Amino acid sequence: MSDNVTAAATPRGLWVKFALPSLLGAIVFLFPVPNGESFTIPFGVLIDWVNENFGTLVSGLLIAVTVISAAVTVAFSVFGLGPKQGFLRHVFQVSPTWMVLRVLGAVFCLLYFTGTGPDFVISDATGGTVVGFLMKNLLALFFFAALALPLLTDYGFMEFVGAFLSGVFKRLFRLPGRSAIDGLASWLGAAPVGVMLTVQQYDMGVYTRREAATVATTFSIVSVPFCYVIAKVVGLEGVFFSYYASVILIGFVCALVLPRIPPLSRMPDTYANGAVPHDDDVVLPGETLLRAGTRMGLARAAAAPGPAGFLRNGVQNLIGIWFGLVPATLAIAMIALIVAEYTPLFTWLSMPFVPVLEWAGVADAQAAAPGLVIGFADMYLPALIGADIASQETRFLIAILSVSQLIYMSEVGALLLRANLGLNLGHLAMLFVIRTIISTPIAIFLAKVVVF
Amino acid sequence: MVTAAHPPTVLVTLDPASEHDRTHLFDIAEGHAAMLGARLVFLSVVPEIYLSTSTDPEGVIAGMTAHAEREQARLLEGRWPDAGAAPRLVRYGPVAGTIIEVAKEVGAQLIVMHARRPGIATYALGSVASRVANHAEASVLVIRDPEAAR
Repeated sequence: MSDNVTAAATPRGLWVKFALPSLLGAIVFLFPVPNGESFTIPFGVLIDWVNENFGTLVSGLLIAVTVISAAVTVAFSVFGLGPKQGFLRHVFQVSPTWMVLRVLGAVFCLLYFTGTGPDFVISDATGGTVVGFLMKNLLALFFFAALALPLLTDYGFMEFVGAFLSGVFKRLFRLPGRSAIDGLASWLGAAPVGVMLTVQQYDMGVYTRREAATVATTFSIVSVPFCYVIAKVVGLEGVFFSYYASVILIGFVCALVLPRIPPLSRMPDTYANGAVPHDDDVVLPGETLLRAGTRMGLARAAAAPGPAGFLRNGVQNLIGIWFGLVPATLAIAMIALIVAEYTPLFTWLSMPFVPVLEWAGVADAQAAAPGLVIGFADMYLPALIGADIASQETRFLIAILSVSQLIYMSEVGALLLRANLGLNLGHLAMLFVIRTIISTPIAIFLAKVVVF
Repeated sequence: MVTAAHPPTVLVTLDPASEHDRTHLFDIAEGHAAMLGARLVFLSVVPEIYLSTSTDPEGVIAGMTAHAEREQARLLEGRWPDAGAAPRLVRYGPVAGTIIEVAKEVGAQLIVMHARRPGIATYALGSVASRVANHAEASVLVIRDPEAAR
């Protein structure tokens, strides 16, 4: 269906295709359900239920996934086996670095579950945290997210909500209304998806370079399911809604400040070479927000796959994530925790921040300080390093920083460097530091005064 | 190897993510193609990215590939406005390995690639250019920009 077909002429089947998956997705990922004295989301309940009732199965699955991934990756990448094109090749033919990480992932996993590894692999602080906790949760998270998250992202929900937020984005953040949809794609789907949507809009001439860089570095926030896992890693799933509200508040403050100061304010307001400047068409002249949201939502639903395609895409994504991503994540997280626990490297790197945190009254400042810098490498690392900190306020701070620093080079940063938006490593480092400076005092205040 | 399926070919690699002047690279590639009586084939490789929070990695890869196609077209049309028919390829995967494979696939006699100022990491890990030069079946010409060489 083209974008300008009127809602009145829309067949009933398309309304169902728009409304039913969107509603289901909103219930699974956004609907608050009671959890003891607090609230969680049904998605969190599902993950907990799987890990509580099928723990042994998940452990076995993790071993199978990492070992098969390592074996097939070596077969494809070293011995040139497998197809020459297509999905399996994308997943299993990788550079030597990724191959080594996947093999290491399998080795760490086997050593941990058989209990035969050295202490630095099987201790609670390293293998126990990464293999025994994070990866088992991620395995379940990816299973449900790969199969269910498209309900929220592919059938019009984010276009529908985006129309209502477009005016806010225009007025408060000085951005085209379209940026509301890109922001929602990150929030509801995944940060890289939001970044790629933004890059696409820049290529098409919807955003200038400044606008695209602003949207990508301000609204590409970590999505709801991953925030839940981060909260779980630091043991704060019981206050998930307070935690997530704090993340949104801090993201909002950063979004107000960052576009108005360098480096973003100094980026040129020029369009991509060869792109014809394109009007922001989220809300058409004379259109109400409801009508605009419905029009875009229906158009998105019309382009989305039917049940068979939905299932096929979900399973394909799940295979790609489990076999391509999980083993490498396991290896990277293990290496980071081994370095953090058994070497003084992070302590040295974060030494300048200890007095600042002590001055701000942060308990366990020495243990929290690495979390301020390590997030530049990867989103999971601050939470993993801070998981054992005794003070819940400090764990709250670390969990907030994990997702609020936003520019982690392993994913969002790497995509931004390839996006031709004029952002270089120096800009990204500067934005990371500014976000950390803004986020830290607000998180400390919220932890001390509001949440606990 | 020149066959009916593979006319004489010079494979030119382009990294569209890097913004710098490619005049020197294009001049030399064009000169060698004329000398060999070969066609130019352009290749860009989107490198693997660790998508640690994406639940739709294939969608992100498709987005990165589409962006690389647009940037590659922009680069080539800047130099050859009427070269719409010149073979252009964009692939996803390990960069050096993919260049070597595509060179075989298109029957390239020569691979022309650009090298920027080497970073410290390349002393330990080697650069893409050095890996291609070591392992490709075709000859490899690595172009250093005059400014980067200084």
